[in-house]
Amino acid sequence: MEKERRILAVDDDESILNVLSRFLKPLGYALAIASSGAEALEIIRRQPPDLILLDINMPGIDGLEVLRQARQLIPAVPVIMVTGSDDAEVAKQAMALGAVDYVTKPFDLGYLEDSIKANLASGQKE
Amino acid sequence: MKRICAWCRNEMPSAGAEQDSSAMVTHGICAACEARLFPQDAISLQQALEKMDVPILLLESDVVTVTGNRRARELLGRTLSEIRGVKGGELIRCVNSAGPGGCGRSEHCAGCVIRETVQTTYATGRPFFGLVVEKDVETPAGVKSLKLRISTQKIGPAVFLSIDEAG
Repeated sequence: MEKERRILAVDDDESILNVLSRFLKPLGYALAIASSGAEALEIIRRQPPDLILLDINMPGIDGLEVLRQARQLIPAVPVIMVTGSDDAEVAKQAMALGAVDYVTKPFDLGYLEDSIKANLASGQKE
Repeated sequence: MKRICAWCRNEMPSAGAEQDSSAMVTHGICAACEARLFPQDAISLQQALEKMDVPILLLESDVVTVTGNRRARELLGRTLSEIRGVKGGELIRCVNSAGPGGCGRSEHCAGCVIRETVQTTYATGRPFFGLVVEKDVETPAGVKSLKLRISTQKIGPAVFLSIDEAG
């Protein structure tokens, strides 16, 4: 039997975490949620997920810093940025730090699903 | 921190008591846009509302309508698409909603019992039953004073407002 894939969703806005939860759970993913960068890093250290959906603009430790630390702690785990920032410089920075995709809000659920599937599959091959 | 719905770009109410004065903007999704994102769930909610034999509106904290049932649409003389995403004052054609900024922005809106009741229920979860309020509304025959009976209840991230003419 295929192992249930675990996704960590990180966003300081509860409404986005609700949407991700409503969307991802019926697709068969196990979901861990964090509403701050500090909480996300704690989960990453305690129980590393198979993939991370990561917001950028968060008070305290922002998404880029979480990404930087996650790449050191769990370099093989794909990180998809899911953010309201459409600043090209921020996107470039995130991709340079190792994000595998950069999805801006409002996001398309179909695209997000495809990106998650593709990145989980490529993570499995490595 | 300012909260913006990334889907409709409207400002959203602050998530909690914490009022961060920073200029930082966070992007969420409002209940109306979330309902549009999951139309299969919205249909079942709509079906449940349609079964209720009193006029019911489902509102967000800024008194923006997520949806309403058949009885509410009949009372307001509006279609389903005409009530979604519209502020309460504009729905009932409140005279104060015709000014700049619409419902909730005029000098009279601070004393609006409907707005205050919905927002209190949204913020505290406290329900209200059978409040009678008077509103001046635009009608084809001119401005008319309407007596309405309202009740509110918070369910999930929205407020159910039952609204009917009080005779």
